[in-house]
Amino acid sequence: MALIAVEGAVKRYGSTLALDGVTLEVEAGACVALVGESGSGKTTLLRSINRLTELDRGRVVVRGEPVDSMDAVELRRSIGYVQQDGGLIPHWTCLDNASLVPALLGLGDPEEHGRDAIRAAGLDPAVFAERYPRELSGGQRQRVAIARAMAAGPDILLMDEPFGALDAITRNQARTTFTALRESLGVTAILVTHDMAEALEVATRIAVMRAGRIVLEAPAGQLLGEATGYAAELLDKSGVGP
Amino acid sequence: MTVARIRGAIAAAWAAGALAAPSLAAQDDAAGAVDSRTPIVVASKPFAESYLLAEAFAQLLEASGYAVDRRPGLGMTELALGALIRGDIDVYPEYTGTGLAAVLGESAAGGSAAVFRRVSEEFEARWGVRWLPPLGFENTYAIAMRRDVADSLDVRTLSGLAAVAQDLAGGFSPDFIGRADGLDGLAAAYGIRFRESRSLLQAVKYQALAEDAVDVIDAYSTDGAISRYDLALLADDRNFFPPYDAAPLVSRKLYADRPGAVLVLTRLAGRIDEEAVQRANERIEVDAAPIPVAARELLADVGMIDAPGDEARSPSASRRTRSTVAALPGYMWTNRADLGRQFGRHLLLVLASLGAAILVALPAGVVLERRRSLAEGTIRLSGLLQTIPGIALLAFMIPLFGIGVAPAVVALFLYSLLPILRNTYTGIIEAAPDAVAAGRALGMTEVQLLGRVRLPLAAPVIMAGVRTAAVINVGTATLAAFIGAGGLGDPIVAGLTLSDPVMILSGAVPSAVLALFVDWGLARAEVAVAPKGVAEGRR
Repeated sequence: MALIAVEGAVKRYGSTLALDGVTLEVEAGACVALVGESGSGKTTLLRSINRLTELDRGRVVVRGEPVDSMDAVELRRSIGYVQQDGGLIPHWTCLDNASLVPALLGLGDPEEHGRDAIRAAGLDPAVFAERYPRELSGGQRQRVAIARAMAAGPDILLMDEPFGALDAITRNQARTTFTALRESLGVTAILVTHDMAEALEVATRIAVMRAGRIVLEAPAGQLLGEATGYAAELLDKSGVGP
Repeated sequence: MTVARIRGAIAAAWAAGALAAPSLAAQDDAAGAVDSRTPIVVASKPFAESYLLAEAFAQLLEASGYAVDRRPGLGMTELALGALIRGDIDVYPEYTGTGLAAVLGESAAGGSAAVFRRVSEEFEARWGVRWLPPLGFENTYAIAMRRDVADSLDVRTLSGLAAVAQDLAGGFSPDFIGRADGLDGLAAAYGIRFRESRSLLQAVKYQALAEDAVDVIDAYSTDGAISRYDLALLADDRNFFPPYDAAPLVSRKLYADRPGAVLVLTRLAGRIDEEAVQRANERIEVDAAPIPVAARELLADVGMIDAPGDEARSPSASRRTRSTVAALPGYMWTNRADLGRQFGRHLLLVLASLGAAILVALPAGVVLERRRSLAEGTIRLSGLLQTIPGIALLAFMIPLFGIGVAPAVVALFLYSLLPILRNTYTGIIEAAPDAVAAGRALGMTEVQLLGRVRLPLAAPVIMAGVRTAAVINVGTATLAAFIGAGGLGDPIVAGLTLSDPVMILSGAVPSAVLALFVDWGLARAEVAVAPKGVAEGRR
């Protein structure tokens, strides 16, 4: 059974159909990239998984349980989340930020969890724990954001353009760190990106979205061979075409 | 003179019973209607003679054992009368002609007795307030010119003025300009058209005339300044102005429940003649004697109390011998008890209104952030409140809350809402929206987001709103004196009507210092509440 299953998801914003009957299954341990242009519905799909967006029709099942029967706050605390700009709380230290979810869950010694997570994200807690977000570089901030998402040891991680705001070199380092971390912890991840090259590098499966639908879904390794039409166009735009 | 005789007759009839009564406060007590310790609220309108007469009423009541609460300088006729009708005040000096023309909107038919009868009947029928018998003098509006100018133009009467008015500039008190028995009626009755006419405060009118800035002013016939500046009063040859007999106007409540106090006031009937009141006005306006001193002298002068001691008449009691700036510290020290009380009242007005505004606007700002469709309209509405001039907003409160502290606090509260509401709303919206989104996605509840992320980040912005509101309030609260709320506006208003710069400054300087201190203190508070880690916290 899939760890995450989206079944016939429909979401409408006014006259815009953001999700037009999307079905997607994500196996435990996979890293699925949702790829598409702005307005293709990929972020809406991602946010429906932890109920930041409520679907009009269809349903999302996580760990065998429909999410709309779960408490939204509890559900979100059990799932890691990283957004493009990091979204660190500016008047909290890095350690306070990283310890947030363990503290919300009432785990013993949340700061210990936070420190471990900062270390796992590739930063030295002795140097960074007491710093404020504004004292960090963009890449360091994004690492703290990943540490915050992973600190309570969730089995699922949702990421919305997590490397989008970083420069090329920093982005490569962050991707490498992320992949190593994900594999070592066995986390199931769903990643939203508009960059096909990034999807090919970090994801195990790729779902190409357009106008609220998934137009192609394939293992990352086979995508280059299978892509036709719009998917091939996207590959071309990202400079990784056949 | 017939008019005087009629007036004397009314007064004598009224006073007949009063003179026999020994302890009147005790009499009220015995009547069981009111506790004699309940203060009688004595008010005045904001000009020297009204202050003087009200103070005389107050001293006479105190001499008979009554407790008195003084509310001098209430805005204008509508305001003082409104307060009397509602029972917020018990008595203030009024003039029959003002009652007839300005309040009832009627023109004079008959002499003093007829006018007194008319206003007595009509005021009682309409509002239950009572005119006590006239004090014995008239203080009519008079049109005044410099004697040399009047002589050179050969103007002696208002009809004569009409012939030359097109070359003259007039300066009139705002009250006079707006009244039926004022400028408009005068212009219609005599066909007077001035080259220009401007609005001048009572305090500067005489000065402006003396310095040739204007040629014609409205005066009160008993003003001390008329003799000081040796002015020519033009005869009202068509009897346009009604008789203005001064009399105590008392509330329904005082009249019904405290006959003893009413009798005390009635004792003044027919006792104060034109010469006596003019002397007292001169003492205030020319010698700059303090009003309580002038009032005591007046009462002694007309034989109502024993003559005051010599020290009160000594020149050192005079205000005008001092230079303004040098005299201020000494004046403030001498009046420290009054000023301290006024300062305390001022602070109370500001703190009560500001505290209430914080309690309302801060939660409202938080709620509006969750109901953004309502926010625009609500903030615009509270902005509309701020466009109402301070004195007008205070006046609007009177029908709802009467006079005194309550309406002033409500008005200042309304003024404070906008800055706090707007800053709370925008402060919360602009508080790190990315961090709020991420916190929500990771399972923070809305309450946790508000308490731990949004409010701490918005705190400096909210505090800036509180600071704006506080500084506005300290300034606006000086206007509260016009509606009897006290505070540092009291010496400012009284000083303006008495042309006493030292008295004005004794209220203006402390309120300016208070505004600066509040601004400085809350600026520090803004920095102090800024959370660590964000730029504001590092200044």
